[in-house]
Parts: sequence; C-alpha cells; structure tokens
Amino acid sequence: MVSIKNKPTTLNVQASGLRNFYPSGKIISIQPFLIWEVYLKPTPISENYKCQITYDLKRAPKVFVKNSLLVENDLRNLPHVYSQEKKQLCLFYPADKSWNHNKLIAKTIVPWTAEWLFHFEIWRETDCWNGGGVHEVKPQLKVA
Amino acid sequence: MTHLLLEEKKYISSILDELAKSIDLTETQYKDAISRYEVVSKFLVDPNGNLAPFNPSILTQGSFRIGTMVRPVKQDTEFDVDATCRLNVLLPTIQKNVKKLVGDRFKSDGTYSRMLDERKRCWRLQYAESSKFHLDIVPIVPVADYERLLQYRVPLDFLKHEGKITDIEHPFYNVNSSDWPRSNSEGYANWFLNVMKLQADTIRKALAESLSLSIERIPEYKVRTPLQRAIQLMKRHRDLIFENDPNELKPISIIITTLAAKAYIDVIKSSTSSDLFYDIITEVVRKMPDYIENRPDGKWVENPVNPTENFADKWQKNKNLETSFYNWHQSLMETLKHRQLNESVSKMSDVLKKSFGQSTFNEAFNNLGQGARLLREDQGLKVNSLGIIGSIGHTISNHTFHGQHKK
Repeated sequence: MVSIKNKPTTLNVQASGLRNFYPSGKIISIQPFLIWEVYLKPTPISENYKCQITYDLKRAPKVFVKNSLLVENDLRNLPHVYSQEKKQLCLFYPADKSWNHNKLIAKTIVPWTAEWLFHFEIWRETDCWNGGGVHEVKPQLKVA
Repeated sequence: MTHLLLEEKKYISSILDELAKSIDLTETQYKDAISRYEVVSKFLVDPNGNLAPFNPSILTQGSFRIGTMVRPVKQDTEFDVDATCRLNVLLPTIQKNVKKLVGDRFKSDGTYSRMLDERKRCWRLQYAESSKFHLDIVPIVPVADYERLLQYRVPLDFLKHEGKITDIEHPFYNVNSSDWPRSNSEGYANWFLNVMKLQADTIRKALAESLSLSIERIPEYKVRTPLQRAIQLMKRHRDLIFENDPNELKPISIIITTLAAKAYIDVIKSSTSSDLFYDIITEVVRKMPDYIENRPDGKWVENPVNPTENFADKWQKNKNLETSFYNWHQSLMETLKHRQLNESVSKMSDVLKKSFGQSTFNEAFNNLGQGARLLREDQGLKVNSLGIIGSIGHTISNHTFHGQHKK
C-alpha cells in the first residue's frame, strides 16, 4: 500500500484507530474536527484520568487532562505542559519528527499521554521527572 | 484473603522491590567495604605476621555475609561489616591472650594502629574517608566438641564451623580455661543461605546471562532473593519505628532474620505459593510469630544451628522486649495489609513513605520511573487499552517530552 505522504491520515481513519486500540474511549465528534475522550490510568492503582484529544488535521493533536492534578496546597508548576491552566500536555518535540499527520493518534499520542501520566504520578510524589525530555524539570520543593 | 487484585499486587511488588534496593547498600559501598576487607584479610594472614603459626582464616559474618545489610536511617551514620579471624589455637588457654594476638598484629602497622579500637568481643577498624563504615574483627578458635549438637539433627556441615570467642566481660577472660563463649556465625550463615539456595541460584544464573558473565564473576551483593529483600524491608521498618527509642527495645536482627527464614521455608514449600514479592513478604511476615515457641522457661527463638541457644533469652528478663517485637510485627502487618495501598498512587506513597522513609521511597519511585524511561528508549515499554504502562499491550514509540513551565 502506497502512503501518500503529503495527505494526512483522515479523521475517519484516526477515529477508527482510536476505537480499535482504546474501545472504552468516546468519540464526541469526527468532523469538522476530531474530539475524543478516554479514561486512562497508568498503573493498576492509579485514579482514572479523563483525557481529551482534539485534532483538526491542520495542527498537531492537542491533549488535555480534565482531572485536577494537584492538591490545593501544591503550588508547583506542572511539568511538560503547554498550559498550566488548561493542562494541555506537551508530549513531543516538534523537531524530533516523532509525530506527523500520517501517524495514528492511537499509536502515538495516546500511549505518550499514558506515559506522561505515569511519570506525572511519580513527579507528584518525588518532585523529580524521570521521563526524559527537552527542558529539564527543576525541583520545586525545598529539600527537608 | 488479600484485598489486592493480581495486577495491583504486581505493581506493589515492583515498588517494594525498588524500596528494598534503596535500603540495601549501594554498589559503591559494597565495593569499598569488600576491597578494604580484602586488604585487612591479606594483612592478617600474611605469612610474615605474628598470626601465621596459627593458620589464620578470615570470613565475613552477620548481615554482610548473608546479604541482609541495610543502610542506616540517617545518611551520615556508619554501617558496620563483621568478620571473624579464625586461629588454630588449642584450648584451654587465656581469652585475653588470643584477643591480644590479633590486636598486636594490627598494632604492628601504623595506619591500622590509628584506626584501631578494642571492643568487647572484637577489634574495630574505623574507616573515616569516603565510605563511612567500620570493620569489626572477632577472633575465634575451633572447638573439638561440635558433634555434641548432632543429637539435635543439625547437619554436620553447619556444626563444624562452631568456634569459641573472647569476651572482655566473661568471668574467665583472664584465666586459662576452655570455658569461653561459643559462636557459630558461619554455620548460621550456611543455614540461612541454604534456605534460599534455589532462588539464589536462579537469580545468579539469570544475572550471569543478562550480563554475559560467568556465574563465578557475579558478585554476591548483586544476588538478592525475596527472603533477603523482605528482611531488608523489615529491618528498615523496625529502624524507623525505634529510631528515637532510648530504651534499646528494638527487636534484634537475628530474631527477625531467623523467624523470617523459618517462615520462608514454610511459605515456599506449598505448591500453590505465589511468585509475587508482595505475596511472599506478606505471608512470611504473617507466619513469623508461629516460630516463636512457648516453653516452660519462657519464649524461645531457637538458634537453628545450636538448638540449646535461645535468641530471645533476653525477653525472659525484660517483658518489654517481647511486647516490642509483637508491636513491631503488628505495625508491619498493618502496612502490608493497608487499605490505602491500592486506593491511589498518592495514598500508596503515603503509607510506604511512613513505613520505610520518605527519601528512600522517593529514590525507589524515581528508580522505577527511570527504569520505565530506559525501557521505552529501548522500545520495550508497552501500554494496554486502559492506559496501563508495563509489559503488556502496544509498544510506546519514542518521543521527547517538551513544553516549558508556562502559565
């Protein structure tokens, strides 16, 4: 099968992929842009994190975590997010070409979201981000 | 009986395992201790030294020997490595003289002289620099009557290591006598290592394969069985509870170790026994009190290589010691059965931080995270349809987390 590199994978195909790999997810809309929600838990004892992915074919998919992630008196900045308020996750470095429009969201963005949540839960306890990445996450808690 | 589901147990097992690793000495600490011990050993057996006529042989003993060392709770505290220096001296003779033989050997060297400190039963060498530890050398002489214990059905292989040691406070310390305190730390070590031999062999073999080394080249400190890991967790849990206890009531390690090993024999015997670390440690801890015997003279924790010796003999003089043991045991069972263990990552973290130490938990949890990252970079990390990260599901392709701390 020849892949036509310049034409992005269609929203329908993306939606199919999501249904296939994450059957518990909910497709809110496909056209004019894809909105999909799923509950993810990175470990067997984690809470369920409600994640929303929006994708309009033009720009890279956006991932938002809907749960409140920090307790009231935790004043730290979330690591690896585009927006603290909107909790929009930053899962890849555009220049490293790990994502492009021909890739299935279900095989890239969603696993990376689960992985972000996994490292987030550790960071929340230890103040240390172990997931690697560009822009070092500096400790924000004073060491006792 | 347990409130945890299988997948939850697997996850908690991996955390407990990382915790035990963070409680164990570091590789650097082991390498330092071993190299210093080897230098001392060589010095003591030197054919030109005063000990040469007595055919000296040096062995480590105690928790270093059986692989259950734990880091001190406070980071800057020293840890100790125990060793015996066996000399072929025939009894009867004077304990003080044998002690002096070893002391004199150390004093013949300027450096060791400065590091030397005489203790009740040993000579202590204090190492001040990088690794903060001290090496305790116990002089020991062979006995002729170890076969007297054969009637208790202790294997000869364990009995033959029995010896007699010196003790400054012994009534006959200065007297020519055969009445010396006995010790069989090497026999005990053999017994303990035999309890976990199958698991140790399996782990050693797997390590040798994964590191592409021959089995003989795998250092012992890299081989840790569930029994050893469980004991390390128990000792740390105990150390934290009794950290500020002025009354010296903390359950002694030999009691914890012996009961754990006896319980372990029982736990792994069953064909339905689980392989999961969580299950093993929970069952071992649960069964430990079963091996405390009620005898007419009081509670007994029998020395497996000398059934005439009661490790819990001090309990008879001080009932608080016995109470302390059961309190510690109950507290650990509560931790292992805590309902918060599977409520959320935060709650699990709270429980484990309180029981095993916050910085230890953080180190362990971070190591878990690092391991996951390395695995993903190696393309070995997977995610399933619920989002659970692990070894099942679809491979997570490589990427780089990005983003700044923007508001």
